[in-house]
Amino acid sequence: MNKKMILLFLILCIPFTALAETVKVFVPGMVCPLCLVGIQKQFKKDVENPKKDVLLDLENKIVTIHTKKKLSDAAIKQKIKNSGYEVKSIERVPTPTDPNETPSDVLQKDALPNLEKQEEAKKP
Amino acid sequence: MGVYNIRMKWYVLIHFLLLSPSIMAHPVIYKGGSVYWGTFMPQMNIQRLSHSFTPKLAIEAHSNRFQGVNDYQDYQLGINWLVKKWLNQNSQANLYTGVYAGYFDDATSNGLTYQTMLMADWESRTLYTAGSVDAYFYDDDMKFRYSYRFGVAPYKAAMGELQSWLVLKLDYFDDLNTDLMITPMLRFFYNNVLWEMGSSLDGDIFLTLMVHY
Repeated sequence: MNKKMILLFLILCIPFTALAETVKVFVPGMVCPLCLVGIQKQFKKDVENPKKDVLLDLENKIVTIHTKKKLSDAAIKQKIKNSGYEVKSIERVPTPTDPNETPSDVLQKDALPNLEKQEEAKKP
Repeated sequence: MGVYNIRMKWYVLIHFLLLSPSIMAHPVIYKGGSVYWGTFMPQMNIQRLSHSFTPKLAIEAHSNRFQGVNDYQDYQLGINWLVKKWLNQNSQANLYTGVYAGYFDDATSNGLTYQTMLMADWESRTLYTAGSVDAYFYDDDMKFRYSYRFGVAPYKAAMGELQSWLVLKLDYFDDLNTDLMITPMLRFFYNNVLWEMGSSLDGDIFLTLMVHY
């Protein structure tokens, strides 16, 4: 009985692990909008619309990606590497509970973190 | 033979000198990316098509036409290699090399031709510098083409915006010019397209079109 309960629990968990997710990836060295073309191409299969779901904040060197399903850190790092860059950090943004929000709404609503402050905070 | 050795020493020296400052857009791009790159001047026409298999290695087919160098024309196939990439917080630098082989034809002869390239660049959102040396080996001869650029962006473009640059380009090619060719130009990026328009101080129009896909 206990095994069946655990199995049922695991099955119920599957849809939650496969949910869409927004990740913010800090990628130093990106200096022009052309950098984004390669990144959008690498994440083409992981998002609904690369032009809307993969956004670049050149000022803060942050790529924001709204994926169809959760991607591992290793997968994100590999895709950024294939774009010719290296990942410095990855931040996962909680998925909103409002079903009416579109991926673009989520991306616009989420304020980009102030990375300089984060870096300062990490210093001893 | 003596002249050949002196030229070879210069070639090596210039290779090393160009490691710190650095030319144009990147001969190797993202994995699976392809680039068409055409440069048009009255006396020089270069067309390149490349495909990057990895972010470090690309195959390239190109055609060079140098009207001033005995109507030289070639068709070559080769590889580009990203030797080193430096990524800093607000800038990046790249060092590339390439080797190519193919067929040439000019006013007096034809046959096999080889080319090597060394290119380095450094760019931030507002400054850009790049340099390259190309060596052409054909018909028991060796010719060099040197190019250097410095660019300034008048504003910082964000994603989806037109990016503009003011660029000063210096070129020297054995036999093509007796003097340095100085070309001020405008350079624009929009989405996956780059184009450049300028005119040398001698009045020669310069155009470049580059498309990434």
